[in-house]
Amino acid sequence: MNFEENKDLAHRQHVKYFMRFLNVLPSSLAAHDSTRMTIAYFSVAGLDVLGAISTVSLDMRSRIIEWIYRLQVHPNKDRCESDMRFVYCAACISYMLHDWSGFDIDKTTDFIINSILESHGGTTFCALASLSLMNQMHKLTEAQVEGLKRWLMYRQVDGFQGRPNKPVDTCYSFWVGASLKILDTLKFTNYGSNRRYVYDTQDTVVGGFSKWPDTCTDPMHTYLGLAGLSLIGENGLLEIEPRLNITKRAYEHLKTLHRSWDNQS
Amino acid sequence: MSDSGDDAAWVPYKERPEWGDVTPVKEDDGSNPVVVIAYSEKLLQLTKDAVELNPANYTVWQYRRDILKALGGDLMSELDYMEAVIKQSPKNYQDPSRELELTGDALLHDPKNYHAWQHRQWAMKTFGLLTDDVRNNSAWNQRYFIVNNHLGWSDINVQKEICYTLEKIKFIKNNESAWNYLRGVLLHDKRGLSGNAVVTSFCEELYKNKCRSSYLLAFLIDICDEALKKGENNSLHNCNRAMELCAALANKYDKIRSKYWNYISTKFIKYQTESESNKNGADKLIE
Repeated sequence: MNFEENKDLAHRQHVKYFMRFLNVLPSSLAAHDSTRMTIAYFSVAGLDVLGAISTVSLDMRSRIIEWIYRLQVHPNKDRCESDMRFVYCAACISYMLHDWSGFDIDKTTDFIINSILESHGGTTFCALASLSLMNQMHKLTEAQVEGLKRWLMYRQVDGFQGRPNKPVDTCYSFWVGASLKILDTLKFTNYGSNRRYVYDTQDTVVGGFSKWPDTCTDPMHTYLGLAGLSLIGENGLLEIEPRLNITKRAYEHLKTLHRSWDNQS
Repeated sequence: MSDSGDDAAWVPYKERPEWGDVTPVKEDDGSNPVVVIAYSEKLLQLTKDAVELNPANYTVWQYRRDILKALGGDLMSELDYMEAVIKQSPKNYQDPSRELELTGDALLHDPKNYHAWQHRQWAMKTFGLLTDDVRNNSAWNQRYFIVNNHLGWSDINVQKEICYTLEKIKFIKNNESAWNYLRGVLLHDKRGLSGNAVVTSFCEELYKNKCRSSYLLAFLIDICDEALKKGENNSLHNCNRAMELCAALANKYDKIRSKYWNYISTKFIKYQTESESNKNGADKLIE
């Protein structure tokens, strides 16, 4: 891939931006102490979609891996937060581990379909991606699917908003874009307007994307902005697997692992 | 850090006699299980101090919720506590979901609990979720929540909500939240989207008066679609009308979604060809 050919994308700056976050956070971000792992996730995923995962040294990689293992706790079965975000996390983990034995697919499917949550771009993504990972999309009626497509299509203003009458925000180019992609409907959106909006929120000097033009950048909006651009086929970015929110490269690697596990058993 | 805000009065946990039986664990994220092993009033007190150190820490609030549930604690006084913390540090509180979860828990137990309803309203106002602004999507969702979980969708309530919503649409025609609410209410109307004469004549009246809001046109398309599926198509609601409306949206009134409306239009073309070939088949049978 030739990263120089896309003049709109401040590729080099975004790589540096993520590398800074992987090192040391400024003390002004102390309140984010409980979300450090999320910041690490967005930074690693961001470097991957930029095709720059090799920028992370082998030493740094083993440090990240060790740190994550250290933070692992053994779940207590009595504690269970029922929330669409956690359903999505559980579905992703089961899919990645290639093991659904800890997961009640029927009950979860019922929970998702009966949810009368406030319709929201983020929640809708979690619900749809979970159903698709569980291979349960057929449980939605045609009317439900068409209703979802319509609601999601209407989120496009120029970029995308998360809910009706709310301002557009870079991250919904991913949350809504990926939901539409899962429903094979992203192709009906207006790529040009979406692309222009996301680029309006890019900081070309120090790297990063923000939710709105001329506001503060952060790793979440940077990763999701890049992922949103990737969904519409932007040059200089790796393709994204919408359901797991990882690159196709990482997805193929995962599939290789699954095959080798299957052969072992 | 203490409740009174008087730091001199603060006694570290390790110096409190009643905490002598607890061995401190160095911060290592491994300390979390200590908090979850056994729920007690003591632990509730500990989470209170943790909350004051960083009210943005989501996990601490979740522990409080778990502890309260395990102890059968008073959810109402917890709501008052949250309210107090929020008032002290409004900047740390961007996320109303905790309030809504907890009031949701309380209302599940006791749907008529006035305090919980009142708190829910307070939280929604504080977070700017509930205003008199008819464009506020969350206010419409809150309305749906109240009818769905509290009042119920009796025929009379359905009619009441329809009249309310149509009034609001008359006032601002291009308000997606109100149109979506109308769809939500009609899910509870046995006659569906196309069968309520009050709604269909309201829409046709708007159309006649030159309203071309994309939400109105989309709604009319869906009326056509449902009428066709039920075999109740008529001079106003049929395939040709639907395709005309799709074209108007794609080329003039909703250009950003032109590809989508063209796609919807092809579904009606297919429908038309199918019904024509069925008709021809039937004609042949008669011959």
